[in-house]
Amino acid sequence: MADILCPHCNRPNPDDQNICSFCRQPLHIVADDKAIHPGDMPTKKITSELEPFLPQWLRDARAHAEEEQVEPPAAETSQPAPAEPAASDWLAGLEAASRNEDEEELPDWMRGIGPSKPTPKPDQPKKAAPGLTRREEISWEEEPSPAPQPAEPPGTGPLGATRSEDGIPYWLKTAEAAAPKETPPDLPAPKEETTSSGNISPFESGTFRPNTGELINWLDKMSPQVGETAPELPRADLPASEPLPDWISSLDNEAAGGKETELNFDWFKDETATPLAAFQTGAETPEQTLPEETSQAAPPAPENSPDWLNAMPATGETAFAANNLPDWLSSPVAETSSAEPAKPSDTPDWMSAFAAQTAPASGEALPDWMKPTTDAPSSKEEAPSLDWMAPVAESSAPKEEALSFDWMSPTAEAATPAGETSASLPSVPAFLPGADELLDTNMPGWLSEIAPSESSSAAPALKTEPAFQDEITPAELPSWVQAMRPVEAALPNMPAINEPRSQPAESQGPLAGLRGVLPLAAGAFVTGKPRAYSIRLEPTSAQQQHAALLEQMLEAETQARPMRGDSLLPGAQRGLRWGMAVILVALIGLLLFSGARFLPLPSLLTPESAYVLDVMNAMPAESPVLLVFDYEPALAGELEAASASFLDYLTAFRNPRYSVLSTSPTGAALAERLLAKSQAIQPERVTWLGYLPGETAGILSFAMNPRAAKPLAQDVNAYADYALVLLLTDRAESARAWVEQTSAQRGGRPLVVIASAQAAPMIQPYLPRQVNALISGLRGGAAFEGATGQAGPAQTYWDAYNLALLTAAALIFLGGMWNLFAGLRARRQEKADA
Amino acid sequence: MKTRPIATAMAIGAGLIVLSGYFIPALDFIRIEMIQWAVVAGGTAALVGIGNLFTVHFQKVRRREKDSFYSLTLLVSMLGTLLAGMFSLFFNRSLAWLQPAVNAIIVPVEASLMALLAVTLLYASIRLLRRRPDWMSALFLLSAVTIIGATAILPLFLRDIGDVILSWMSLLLAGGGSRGLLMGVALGALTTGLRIIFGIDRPYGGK
Repeated sequence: MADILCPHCNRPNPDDQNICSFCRQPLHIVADDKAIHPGDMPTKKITSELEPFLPQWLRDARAHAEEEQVEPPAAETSQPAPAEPAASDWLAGLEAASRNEDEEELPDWMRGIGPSKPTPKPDQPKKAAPGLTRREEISWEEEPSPAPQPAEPPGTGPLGATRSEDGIPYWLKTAEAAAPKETPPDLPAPKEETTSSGNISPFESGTFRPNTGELINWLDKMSPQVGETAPELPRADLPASEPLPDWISSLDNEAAGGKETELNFDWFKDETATPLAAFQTGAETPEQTLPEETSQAAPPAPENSPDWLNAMPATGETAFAANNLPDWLSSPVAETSSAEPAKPSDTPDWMSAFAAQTAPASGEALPDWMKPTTDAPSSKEEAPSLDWMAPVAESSAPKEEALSFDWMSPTAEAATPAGETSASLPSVPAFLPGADELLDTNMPGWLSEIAPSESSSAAPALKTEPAFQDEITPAELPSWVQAMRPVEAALPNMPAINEPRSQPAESQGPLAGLRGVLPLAAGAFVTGKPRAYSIRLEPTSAQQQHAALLEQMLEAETQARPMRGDSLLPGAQRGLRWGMAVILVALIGLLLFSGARFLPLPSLLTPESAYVLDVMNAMPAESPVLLVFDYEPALAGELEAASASFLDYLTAFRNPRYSVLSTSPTGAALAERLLAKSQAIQPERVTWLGYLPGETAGILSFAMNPRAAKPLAQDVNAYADYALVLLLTDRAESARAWVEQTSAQRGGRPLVVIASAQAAPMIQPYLPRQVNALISGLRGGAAFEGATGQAGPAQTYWDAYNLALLTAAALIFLGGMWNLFAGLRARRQEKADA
Repeated sequence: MKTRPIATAMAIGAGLIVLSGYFIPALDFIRIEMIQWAVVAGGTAALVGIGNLFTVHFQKVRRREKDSFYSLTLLVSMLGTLLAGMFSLFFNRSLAWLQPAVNAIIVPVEASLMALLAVTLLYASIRLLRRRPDWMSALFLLSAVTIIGATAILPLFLRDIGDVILSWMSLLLAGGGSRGLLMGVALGALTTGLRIIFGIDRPYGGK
């Protein structure tokens, strides 16, 4: 089996091992890009997505946290780790994980938690050095490993007992036994108390290198709490069946005294009386004192606490009396208490040696892992689970690295307030102030317990210790822990989550227990940007086919279709056209130029012209008459023949003054043409008003004020001054406009219309009130001539007109019959051929 | 299509003012004034149309496009008529100088077109039953033959009776149909006016 060299201590380890057996550092350094560092701004994570990635032990712990009462296993109570109910959430996971046989689910970093490490599997010691437990496997730098110990799990005694008869955990005893018995040459000689035991603890030798790199970041975060809440030992949370070490009980009792507002490490100060101790205890720097609430908030000491722990308050300021402390802890205490030696009676030997060793060093020999804890800021937070380490931390003076306890360095770094450490650290801490509140609500219990506490009181101390700033390395949080961080509270710009009681709470899933996570009307309102729809028409293939078909149909409608069933050739059609034209032209020309008048004129006026003579008879002589010319040159022949006799008769009978107006651009010229042909009309009695634009509006305007519309109309003041309005038009619309627009202004004056035959049917409905008389076409003119006995152009065209119409009717009838039968025959032939 | 609120507002306002002028005497002067504006605008529109016609054909002549000769003829005729009318009014105070153009060109040409139309309609009527041998075609031809024949024949042979028959046909048959058409036109004009006033129809622009 190939060995893997530890990147930290360069010692060989089995390749199937993730943690160095010697330095407890991870063998495989995995770059976690997703890990965050202190000062990184937290990002919003969907914790539900990370739920599956949680370790099984953590999920089990969360599942059974509320159900099961935490009962610390007897095999693990050798360490003074508290198990308070508040902290039972996260410890429950450890407990559950410890009971779980499948230890592969347990993260590697959890294996390096030293004293809290549960009892390893029976086969685990086989992987370690023979005869050594994993704890014993720790390599002391200055001295080879001590004599082989029975293959027992660390922290367990014979037959699995976790404590010895004197109440000292076996893991402490084991460490004590494994400690080098000789003091390193570079360290000051310990006092006699420390060497009385005969065993030199690793703390004494300075070679104790517990694994700190394996401390996960959340544990690193615990260090501030460790330092802040050092006096608050959660005695009440400890199970009754688990006796605490005396020295821890002493701490608890001391903290429960509640009379001191400062970190009551006078036992250390008094015993050591060193500048370092004074500095650590805050005797000279009152800023380091803890608030009073801290000591008062400490829970009362349990009755079943170990003696050495219960004895701590009894000692008063000399809380860590030597008789209550383990040897390994009492040693430095004894060493540092030069002025007032502590009572070494209950202090373990190895602790006493350690105390004696660290005292003269004035901080130089203080191990690294104890430095940060000494500077750990005080807080009002409750004592976390590792408060048992606080006294040790408070009693140390981390000035220099004499002892290589680097495994606690990360703890110290994490405990240092980020905003006050140094310029090398980002200004934003990993846990922002106020985040602990969210930790209590949105984070698992075990994470909320390690939330950072107020650490402002430790700021001055850190400022006075710039040497620590270099040792601070950014801690890394696993991504799943990062996702569970209360980013809403940490980020100032993010809205806080409101959890009104009125909103339902999630009953299952990763959001179980949270209120207001999902809005009630989530689907009723669109909160985001509405989806953009394209306004372009996106027809389907079927629609495109239909559109193409419709387009083809429309194109076919505009295309000329070939003539169907034509028996005549195009030349024959042209011959027919020319033949009909020749017939009509020849007939009309012959009758016109021959002067034949064999057809008599109508002897009576037509019904529509019956009132025309009455109108002329009713109008006064030489009265103004308005002549309106509103026809096109194409119909000039018809209208001139129809109106000529009427004008001559009117001029001869009443001699009116004519005002000529035209609503057609060519009307004026046609009027002049007509009047020029008249023999009776005198040009001097004619007023040429010209062209009247605007059609209907122009007619109305002229009717309302003739002088304003046509300044030349000087012979009238109003439209009603015209004795007669004679309209010559070939369009029914023009006649309708004059009728409708001038009825109000006409004042009962007569309106006579001489219209083309094609417009007469549309003017007849206005008879006889809006239009007093109508002379329609050549026939009306001929009837007027016949009725009045005048010779006019109507009589000239009358024969030609009637014979041309008769010929046309005959051609239509005969030609229609021919084509009808020809068509039927052609279709029969086509059917026969088909 | 882009809406034109100003044009719509002006059209509706003008319609309401003119309509109100018929019922409110105080608004009559406004109505008359606005009608005068309409007359001026109509005359200006005629000038604009003449100018546009001249420009279009002038561009065709300048670019020497196909059949630009006809455009040149139109331009020459237009300018000649304009000059003749101006000089005629300036010197003779009449349109006497335009009469040759009217008598020799305008009236004969348009009369010839009407004669050609008559021959074309006659030919179409003859070919109608071959193209569409249905009852409607037969009814149309029968009606045409009857009216034309009655107009031409009855006065020749049955003068008195013929006049009565023709009057009955024109007043009852033709007159009844024309009255119905005029009523429809009147209702359509009323509806159109109301729709324009209410802004539903916007023939002046917009929709």
